Amino acid sequence: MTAWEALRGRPWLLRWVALPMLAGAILAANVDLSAPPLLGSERLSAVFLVDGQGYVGHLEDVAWSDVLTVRDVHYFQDARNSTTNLPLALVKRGAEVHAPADGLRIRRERVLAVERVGPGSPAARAIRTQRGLDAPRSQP
Amino acid sequence: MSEVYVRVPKRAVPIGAAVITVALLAGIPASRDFVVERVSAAVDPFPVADAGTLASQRVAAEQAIGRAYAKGADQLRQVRELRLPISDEEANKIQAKAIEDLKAVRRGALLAVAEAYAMRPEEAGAYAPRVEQELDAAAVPADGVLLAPRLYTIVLRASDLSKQVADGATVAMTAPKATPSPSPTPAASPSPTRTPAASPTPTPSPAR
Repeated sequence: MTAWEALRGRPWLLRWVALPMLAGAILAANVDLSAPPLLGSERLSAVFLVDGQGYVGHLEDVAWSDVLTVRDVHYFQDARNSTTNLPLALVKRGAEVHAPADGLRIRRERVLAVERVGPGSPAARAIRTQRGLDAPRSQP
Repeated sequence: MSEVYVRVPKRAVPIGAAVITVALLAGIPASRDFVVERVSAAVDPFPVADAGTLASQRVAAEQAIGRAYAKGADQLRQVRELRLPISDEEANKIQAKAIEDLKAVRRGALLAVAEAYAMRPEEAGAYAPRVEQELDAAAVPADGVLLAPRLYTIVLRASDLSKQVADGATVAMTAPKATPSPSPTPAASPSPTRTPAASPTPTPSPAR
């Protein structure tokens, strides 16, 4: 007797065991257990592409999709011409001539590495500051 | 009077509700964006920097703006140490004008920082001179901080403008004086002796 025949003979097994197991498997494939939703702090990720470009933002990585989506995107730019005394600067994506507005979709095969950005890192602090400056405020 | 009844299967009710909800959310972009935004914010929050981080970023931006001014002023000072093709009086005038322009760039950048931090006009009016005094009073630390994109844009603009001012003044001080061009005369016979180059290359002057 195959598994399918066993399930056909016992509909309650399909409804209460097989389907929940399938749902659990799908959920487990798409939830990062190191940073579960609704718990903990912000989950910023750095996505590095094979051409050397790097993006920082909120990553949406769905197992069955061939693209990664990054929202609230920032990228690094050469800052040696400025007086920040750092070789790189962080730039918020969105001011380009085509005004990208709905996240950045990257084909999975172009990705070299994905890393979690530490919540206390300079990049995370700069991004949170940018949000603070974007938000309406009355005091510095 | 006859009454008409429509029999709706119980299972069709949740399916119908789901279809109507999807149609509404997909059909009205504003409502879809609102729902997606709220759900995303609940699942993966977008926190804002605390007051301490905001203040430290502001100070880092002020210091970077101070460095832009100091770099331009240093360049002018180094140029003045050269033997220039113009008189001291002219050089002083050019240098004073350039320093004035550099200060204007710095003031503008600090006011832009004040605007980014949503200071009221009277606060910004007091803020910029106070920071300028602090920057003039002590050497700016060399430590760099990764700035928020908006602050970096201000610093980059101040750096560019300060460089333009300093370079413009450098050219004005070091360019050879315009001399009346000699009237065309018949070419002399080629002389076998070499004549010294006429270009006035600036050389360091220990007198200043």
